Amino acid sequence: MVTDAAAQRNPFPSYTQMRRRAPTWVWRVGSTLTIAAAITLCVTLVAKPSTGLRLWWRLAIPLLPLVWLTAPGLWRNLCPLAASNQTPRLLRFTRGWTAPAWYSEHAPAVGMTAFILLVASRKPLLNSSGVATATLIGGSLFGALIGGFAFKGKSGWCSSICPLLPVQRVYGQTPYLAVANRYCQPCVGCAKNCYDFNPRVAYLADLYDSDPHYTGYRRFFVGAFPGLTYCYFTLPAHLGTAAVYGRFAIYLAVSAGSFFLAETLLRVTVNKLTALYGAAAISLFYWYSAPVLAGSLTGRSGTAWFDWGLRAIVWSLAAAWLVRTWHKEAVFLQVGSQASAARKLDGGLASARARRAADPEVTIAPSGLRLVAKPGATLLELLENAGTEIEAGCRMGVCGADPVCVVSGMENLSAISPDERGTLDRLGYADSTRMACCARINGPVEVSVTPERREAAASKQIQGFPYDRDVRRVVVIGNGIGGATAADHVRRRHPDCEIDIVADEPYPLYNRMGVSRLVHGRSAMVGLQLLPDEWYDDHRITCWLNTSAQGLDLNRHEVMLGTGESLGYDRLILAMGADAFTPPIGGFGAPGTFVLRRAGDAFAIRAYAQRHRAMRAIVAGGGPLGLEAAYSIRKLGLNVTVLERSPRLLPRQLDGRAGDLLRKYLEGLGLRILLGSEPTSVRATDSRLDAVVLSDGAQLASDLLLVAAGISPLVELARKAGLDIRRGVVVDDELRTSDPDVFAVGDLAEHDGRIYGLWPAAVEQGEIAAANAVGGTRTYEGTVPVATLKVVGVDLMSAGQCEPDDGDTAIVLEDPDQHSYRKLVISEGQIAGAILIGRPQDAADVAAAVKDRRDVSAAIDDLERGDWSCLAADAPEKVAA
Amino acid sequence: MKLSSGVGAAFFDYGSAVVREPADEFGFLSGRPQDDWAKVLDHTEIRRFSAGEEIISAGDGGRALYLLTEGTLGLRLPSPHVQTLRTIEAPSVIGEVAFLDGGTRSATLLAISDGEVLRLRIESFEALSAREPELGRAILFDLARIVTARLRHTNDMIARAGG
Repeated sequence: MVTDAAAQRNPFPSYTQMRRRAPTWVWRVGSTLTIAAAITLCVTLVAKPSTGLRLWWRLAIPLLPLVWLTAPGLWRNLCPLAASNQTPRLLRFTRGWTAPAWYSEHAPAVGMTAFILLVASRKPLLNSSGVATATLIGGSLFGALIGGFAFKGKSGWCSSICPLLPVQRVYGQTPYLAVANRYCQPCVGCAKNCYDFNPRVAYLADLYDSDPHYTGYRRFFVGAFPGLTYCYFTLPAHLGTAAVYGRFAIYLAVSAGSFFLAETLLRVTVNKLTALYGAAAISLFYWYSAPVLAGSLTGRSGTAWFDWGLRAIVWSLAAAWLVRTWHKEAVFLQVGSQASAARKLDGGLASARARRAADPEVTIAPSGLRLVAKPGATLLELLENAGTEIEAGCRMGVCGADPVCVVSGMENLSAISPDERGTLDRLGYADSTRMACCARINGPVEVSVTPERREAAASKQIQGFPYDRDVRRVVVIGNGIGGATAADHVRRRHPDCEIDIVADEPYPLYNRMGVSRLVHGRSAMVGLQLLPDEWYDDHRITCWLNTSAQGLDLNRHEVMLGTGESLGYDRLILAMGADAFTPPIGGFGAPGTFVLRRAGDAFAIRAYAQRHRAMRAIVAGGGPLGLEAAYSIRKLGLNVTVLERSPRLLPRQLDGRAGDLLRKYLEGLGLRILLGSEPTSVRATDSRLDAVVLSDGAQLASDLLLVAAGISPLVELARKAGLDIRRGVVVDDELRTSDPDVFAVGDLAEHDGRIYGLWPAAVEQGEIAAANAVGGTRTYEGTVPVATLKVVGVDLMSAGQCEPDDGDTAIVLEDPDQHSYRKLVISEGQIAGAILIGRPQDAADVAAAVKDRRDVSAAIDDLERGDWSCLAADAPEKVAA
Repeated sequence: MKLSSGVGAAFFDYGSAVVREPADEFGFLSGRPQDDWAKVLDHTEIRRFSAGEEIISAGDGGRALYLLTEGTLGLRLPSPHVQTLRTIEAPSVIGEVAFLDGGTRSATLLAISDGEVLRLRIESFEALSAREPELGRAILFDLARIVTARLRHTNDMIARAGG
């Protein structure tokens, strides 16, 4: 049921949506009076023909078209024929049959023919014969009654065979005063395109019906109407009956012929012409009828002021009606084009939906959007699926891309993990903030995607830290997550030293894990920035963007900048990160060959693909970056082939079965995957790439080659300065390099023979190096690698060891129906590694269990049965409500 | 006799008085088992709304298909002349055009009553069809049937409108 407000805005309300202008009893009294008037008229026509004929033909009939033009609903509700027709329904003696199809089909044509014959018969017969006219009126009343007795609704007369109906449909289509049908309570659906159901649309619906025959005779009728009117009024007196009908036939043919000619020749919509012909006919009618009406109303003829006054009124009304009708047709077509066929959903949905009725509701402020969350889903998943503007990064709570403000219901979210805590502290928002990717929904919550600023803008100062007051100047080279974390943690421990960050990229800290999205997304850098603009100022950190460090003088404790300036330091933290590693590929560097490491790389790929209208791309490398980049390029519209030289995808993160499941899914997304395959050289012209040659000699045509084969630490600066270098800058357990005042963190640091190349490791190292730089003695014990894949729908998490070594055991559970796969590697009773596919709700707990090397020797049976709740039991930190 | 046909058909919904002819209806995933619907639901976001809320705004991007499961929406075009054009009652499929072509929304949908709508964004649909290719194909075919029905309807309208 629609509301009143909606009905008023609807350009085409049905009678049930229209305003009721009078109570039912008023209408009943009115139509009782009109029936009585009609019977009285019939008696008068027989008893005193001159009065009856004048009242009927010279007063009532000339007025009727004006009523139909202005307030047609008034007539429909008061017409004596309608009253007669509806009496059987009102008094409940109607048979209420459904009219047979042939009747519904042909009755309107019969009505039209009858109308034309009646007009043609006026001068030869009706105008002068009281008996004939009384018979016509009386017969019509009787016919309407019979129709109402037999057929349901108004289908026996008013909506079918009534000779006046075709005229009313034309002129009543754009009423000045709309009056709702008062008879049909309820609608019984008795007639096609029922005028009484929807008066403004009924005639248009006729014209735009899909049956050409159905529309044809309606167009003929209105096309013939001006000819009919003109013929009647210009008929010479004393013409023989045959001549009268012959003359009418000719005028009708000419009038309708001109209509169809205009329709053929003019490029206009159909109701433009029908309305025009209608307006012409009524204007003609009153040109001739005005003196007749003047005679009837004033008793005198030759009253020019009346004639011209009435003509002017009618012509103005007709002109305005014409314009409104034309406009209405445009609206009708606009609406009609939207109104497609019914698109019904199936009942199977209802039962599936019922199962989620009790799921928790999440409200998004300030819009008030209310979403139903799957229990255990993260806020990030929910917001992304709902189409909310939110950025995503690592999906592990370490990058800081997706802070949200929890307005209420904090107790209904999962606990804050240490990783998320560290990120929240770095970002420095208010305590109401959560990282959306970490917060799993267990009950009703209200969130806003704009986090609140902390009242006192500064990082959380670590109170009582015995910082080294001799350290006055700390320089950090590199503005990635390792460098930014180090600078933040120096400030937290040392309130007043100078901190400088030197960075060769032109951007403040951004989400490097999200760069592959820059390939297909349109949001550019804005969405990837991870810190509020004022963060550096708030922390009193000087940031030298777009500035390269050219050299280090370890003896003089100085960093030489590309600008010619130099920065002195007491402690130096190296965090320049790494470049993309490129294996030897013949011809690499040709146009169309790329790596993907920095934001600029992503922009270059996007620009090249668009400029060269690239169709095919090859991504060499089936690791996380390669697969995410492949998906991004696929989203850009290219056909993508992924080459992975080992026999499975993500060889360092997955076992064979998990790799197989992932491959099938990615192939389902449209990626082509070639295992055991790598590029050896490229074939290119001066301007573009043609093909890539593979290790087995095969050539793959391609417009673009992206190599994602790992990282190459940026060690040149350190090497020139004389620091110890192997693959990376060698650091001890305190993350010191071979110079005790110089530390190294992140992708360039080599600790215990290992370069992690992982965001969480850089965060951990940044914090420890910062603490040690200002007087602390923290040791670094390595990072358990946790990997996810940021490809839509993948829900993959891998942590630690993915295959059991000798003496280890593995628990493997697979559910093909749910597309899920779970594996735990257990070493000496402790969890040493895990792989999860399609189990996002378990990812955080399982990753934490791997990092803690949790002892599960007592719970092996539970784990093997698939009950992994023991891994969640030991939540690291409960959030305050 | 058909009670309405052609462009005007949408305006003559006589309600429960009339049994619709089956050919007028285009089922979406009709006859699919409940399991399939559960899979679709797993990939959609459920949104509850109150009367007066804007569900889709004309001109917006956001490539997603909506399944109206409860309530009534009013459809508006971004035109100064027209306000609410017609109402859409649950259950219905909405927004298939922008879902298929990635274009902007052509109409605004306002909630006329309280209700609930499911939103299947294109990425979730890709994930769904990567896992359940047959179900994904069925969704596309049914959407194609809906769009084709509309195309026929539009062709018909153009023919009627006289070019």
